[in-house]
Amino acid sequence: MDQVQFVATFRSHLQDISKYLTRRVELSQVEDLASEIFEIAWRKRESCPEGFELPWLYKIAGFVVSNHRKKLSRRAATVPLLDHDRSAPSAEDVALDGSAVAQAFDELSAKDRQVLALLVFEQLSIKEIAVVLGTTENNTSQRLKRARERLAKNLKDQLSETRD
Amino acid sequence: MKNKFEDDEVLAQLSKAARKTKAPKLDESIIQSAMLSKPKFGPRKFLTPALMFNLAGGAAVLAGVFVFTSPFSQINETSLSTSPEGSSLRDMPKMSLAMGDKKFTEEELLSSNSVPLYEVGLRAAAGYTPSEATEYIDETWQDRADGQNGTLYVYVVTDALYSPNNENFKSLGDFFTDGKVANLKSEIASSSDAEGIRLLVQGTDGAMYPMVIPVNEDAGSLYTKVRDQILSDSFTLIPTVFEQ
Repeated sequence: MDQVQFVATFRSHLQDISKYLTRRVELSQVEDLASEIFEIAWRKRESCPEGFELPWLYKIAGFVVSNHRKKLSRRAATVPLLDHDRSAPSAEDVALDGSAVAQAFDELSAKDRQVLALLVFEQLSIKEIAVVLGTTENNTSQRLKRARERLAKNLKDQLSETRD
Repeated sequence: MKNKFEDDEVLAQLSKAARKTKAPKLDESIIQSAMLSKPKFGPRKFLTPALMFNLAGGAAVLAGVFVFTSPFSQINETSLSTSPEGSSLRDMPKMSLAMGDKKFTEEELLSSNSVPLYEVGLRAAAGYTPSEATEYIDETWQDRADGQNGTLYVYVVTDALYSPNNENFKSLGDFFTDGKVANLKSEIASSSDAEGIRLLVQGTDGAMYPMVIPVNEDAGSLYTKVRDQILSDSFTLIPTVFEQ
């Protein structure tokens, strides 16, 4: 893929990446991190699966966001060490409206939030999410199913608490 | 939202709860300048002290994986020669090994023609999370589980009873001490929900390979042997190769 092809392929995904980052990092960091994502994408362009350019970019973005958060956590020392997936957005990150479902989402593990965010907010298909996560469709489907179940359970708990 | 979750009510609520994202508009120049930038790191120096340490550690782990212990010694090469269908397990289509859910019959396992058990299982994909003790097993098939840490993982296929192994050469018995043994017994010895014993074995490539030994209460079955060995704390590492 030469420079012209690269630009032609990835130009249309600029805003998707901007939205992805906006949901996960401070606004002031979006541009810098987007640059980093496209730098990596350019270096690794040969490994980009054809037809899955956006999920592939999200995969890179996930690593970039994780590294960014790691750097922040080294400074602030506030991120739990075992938080394996530092790229998952919180309810606050995705600007949820404070409703019961927002709270239910926030109570999920980072892993559940990550997979649900890719489906609901990034609007990816299961196949595309599998590319982002580097796993199979079957595994992705199972993860989504369980994350969705846990979200539903949290939501139910939230609603019953509200009623009480 | 696509696929089977398209009409999901809970996810629709989640989607509605998200306020519109005001993402900054990114200019194409970001891509242009990204293509011109130089890598921020140089080529990796081969065999740095840190890398040598990792390699040594990895080699030690792999050596440990191949320690064979006695419980399967009755299973000899002859009994492992071919499957009833005449095809070896190695030849089974990989695509049929859906993420950790493929269950092998004992006959299939025994017909594996001395194939290392980790090859019988499925190569895991993605990133394992040892910190999430309540996760179901499928979600633990992710990744090589931090290759240098740990040789095997043992699971009971019920409700997430498992013990991640985070130390090299950890004995199986260490997983199942005190309260754990009581839980294990109640799960695999008496629970009607138990489907078998699930093992995740680290292969020579550092990847983890899950496999399931299905419940078979017949005397001398593979299932009872493995279960007894686990409960009696009498072997230190799971055998990974059937040997004569």
